Amino acid sequence: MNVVEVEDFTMHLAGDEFRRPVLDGVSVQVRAGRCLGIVGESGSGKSLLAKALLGSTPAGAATSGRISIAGTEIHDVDRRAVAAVRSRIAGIVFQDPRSSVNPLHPIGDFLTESVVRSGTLTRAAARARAIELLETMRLPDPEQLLRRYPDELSGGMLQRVVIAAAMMPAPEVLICDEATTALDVTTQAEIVQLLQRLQSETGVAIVFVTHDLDLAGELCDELCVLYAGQVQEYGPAERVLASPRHPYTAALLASIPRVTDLPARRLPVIPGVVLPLTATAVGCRFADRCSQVGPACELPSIPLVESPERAVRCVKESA
Amino acid sequence: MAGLSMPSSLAAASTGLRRRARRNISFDLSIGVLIAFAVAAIAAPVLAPHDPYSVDLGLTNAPPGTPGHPLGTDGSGRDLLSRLLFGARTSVIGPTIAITVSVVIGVTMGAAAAWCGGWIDAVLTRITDFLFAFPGLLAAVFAVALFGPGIVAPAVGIAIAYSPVIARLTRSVVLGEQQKLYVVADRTMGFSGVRTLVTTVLPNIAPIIVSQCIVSFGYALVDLAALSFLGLGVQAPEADWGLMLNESLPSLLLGAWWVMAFPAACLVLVVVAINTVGEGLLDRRGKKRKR
Amino acid sequence: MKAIELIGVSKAYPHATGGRAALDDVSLAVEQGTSLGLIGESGSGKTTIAKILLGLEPASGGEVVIAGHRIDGRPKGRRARIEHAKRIQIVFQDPYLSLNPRLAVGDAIERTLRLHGVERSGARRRALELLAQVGLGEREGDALPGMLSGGQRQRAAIARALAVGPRVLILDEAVAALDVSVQAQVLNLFNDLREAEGLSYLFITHNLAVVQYVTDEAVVLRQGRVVEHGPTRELLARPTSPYTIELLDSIPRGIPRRHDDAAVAEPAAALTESTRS
Repeated sequence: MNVVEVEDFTMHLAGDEFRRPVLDGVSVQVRAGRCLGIVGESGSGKSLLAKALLGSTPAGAATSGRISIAGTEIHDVDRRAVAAVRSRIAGIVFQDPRSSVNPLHPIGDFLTESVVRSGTLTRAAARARAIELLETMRLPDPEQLLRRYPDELSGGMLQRVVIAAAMMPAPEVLICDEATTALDVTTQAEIVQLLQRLQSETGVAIVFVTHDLDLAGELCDELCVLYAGQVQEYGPAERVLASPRHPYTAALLASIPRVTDLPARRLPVIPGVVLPLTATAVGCRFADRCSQVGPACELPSIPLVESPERAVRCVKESA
Repeated sequence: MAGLSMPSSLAAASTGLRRRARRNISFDLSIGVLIAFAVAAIAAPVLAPHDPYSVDLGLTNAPPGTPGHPLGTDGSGRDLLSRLLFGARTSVIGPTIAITVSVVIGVTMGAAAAWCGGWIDAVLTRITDFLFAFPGLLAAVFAVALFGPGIVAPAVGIAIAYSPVIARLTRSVVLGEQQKLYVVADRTMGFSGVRTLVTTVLPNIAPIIVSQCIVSFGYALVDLAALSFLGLGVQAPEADWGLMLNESLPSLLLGAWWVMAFPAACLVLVVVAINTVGEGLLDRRGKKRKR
Repeated sequence: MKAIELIGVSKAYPHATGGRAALDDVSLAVEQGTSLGLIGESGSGKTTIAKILLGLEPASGGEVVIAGHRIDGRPKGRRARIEHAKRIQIVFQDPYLSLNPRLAVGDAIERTLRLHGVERSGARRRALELLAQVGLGEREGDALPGMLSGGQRQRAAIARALAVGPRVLILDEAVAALDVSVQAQVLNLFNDLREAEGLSYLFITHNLAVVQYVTDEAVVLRQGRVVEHGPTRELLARPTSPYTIELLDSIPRGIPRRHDDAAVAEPAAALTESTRS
């Protein structure tokens, strides 16, 4: 059973300056206990997708297609009904822990407040669960920590707390939107390990949104590469990274600086700039930057070619 | 069930549009009102059907619609329409002087306090707090007591009373801007403190200061009109809306309600329009920053 | 003559609790025409070093020398300010925040040129030259920062820094905020500029992979102290400090990481680090 199902999801933003859909026919699935990486740069629509999974869309945005989480339809239905179950089925962690936590309240309140208020747990049960989760996140002395204030914790520690808080109502899926981007690389590695541990202990599904292909490869089972709002490549993470089939994925992997023994001095470059949100697009979104572009790439719409283990949106991919 | 309710995404889109349209209509209307009054003030000599000073004791308190006097006449037989048009001028000069002076004082004080910090900030903040104690009208009365009635003295009094608002706003905005990287960049490139403040910081905070000025202008207008109503501001025989209110009391008692209503309506219209525009501009700034 | 020399530099903030100094006896040097990587995470003191080198703050102890001149806190007076600016400039991490949002980038460059003595007509021409040098055209020069892409903004910021004519450039996480597909372009640009102009770089970063491409030597900073230094390739291939090894190990490699040894958060270090912000 798919915990997360996104089917042909399209989003148009309000405003005359946006001349193409910011998300265009996106379809992805995540099973329980699995981790899906959504990888993209700016303008790819990845953060909009992450928030759309919770039913949160920008004011005036028009959407089509469907998103369901743990069997509940997120869009196109009674919004109050969705809001009621939302925190129980999906949790989200954003990039900056300090803007997610109210600095005026102790950590304990932050962790327990919403489950107590929604009636999901009694205050005592909430406290016990909070301590349990803080331990899962390997935070020292959880009982003491409940009384601390956010500004007494480092960024890394606070992000662990935010993850714990998101897990309080035992959601089916945890969405991480660039959750480690603002952290030190050593802290990032720790958080990745913790997320793996969390997943194996609770079976929660994870949707991990990032710009870092290598990072997604560390944690995720499946990878979905977004460019200009479209899924360009989608498949098992290991396979996609080892043998990318879309020119964008391949070019991206080649241009990422890596610690190597080779006397590399110049990095291979993807020419041009990422397609901005305000630009129109016909045919392949990546065509103007692709080294393998050809006349077929100007077809009005490039279909997603699906094979058993991969989906690729490229005319070079034979069905 | 699902078929009866609008698809939520479509509902969201139309609500957003409706909200934006509502705000835009009142904003655009207000701009229109202000432009109309500005034109009236500038073109008064051309637009006015009569000399605003000419008295006609045979045609006092004539009702609106009287031939030659579309809005009627006041207690001295002067044409109301002409007096309203000319009144737009005097009613606006005072607040303009007031706001200009208060901006000069307020921005200087606020920017210096924020930029220099230390004891300069402490001293200037004390002065600002002290000035806050003076309500605008009281300061204007005080100025009149010292320098006599008219347009200038009350305007300067108001200016001093209003400057702490601008000073405090400037100070807090400059404090925020100081932290910004592009201000630090100016310093690392070798620009002096003063030059950075004047050429980089002030232009970036100008919009919010201007929005505040527009709102303050409305308040100054009311305060100065009130002063003229009390007889301490613009003096007779000038046409000034506040003074016209004062002079209209006897007419009101005789049943000529229009002699009071029209100048009052002008004041209300202009102040509401100014506030709508001012708040609307502040609103748009806020929205732009959020994006 | 070395481009940058820090000799036993210390920095303590008077109001910081926790008792740890921001910098503790830091010594490093950048040879003329070379690029030194300053590798550190948050709380390492790398930002403090940048501030001291730019003259925004004085060091509490030790000597700071740039191109043979000793510097000590804020330069006093117009002449000192201009001379100091001509010695060392900086390209910040976030180009959106470091450029004046109301100035077209070409105008921003011209303004800087005129401050440093270039007269009006020459300034316009030189600004276009600088823009071309970083790969931007006249159209980008007329644009406001908000209308440019991240990579274009960063190039504009680089052009503005070059306009001063510095011998040394501090690159403070200068590619960290850019899209991956654009990072490579800017890194290559840094290398090209250094060769063409004979500049010296202090490249501040937490990204060990990036450091390999733009630096000859590197210094690893941890909590205000130098824990390792040496030629970049040596440092990355055969690190000796446990911290450097930990940093290298933390870099994502695209393969699953073992989670059994998930680390417990260190409360002591974490608390002192947070009180310093």
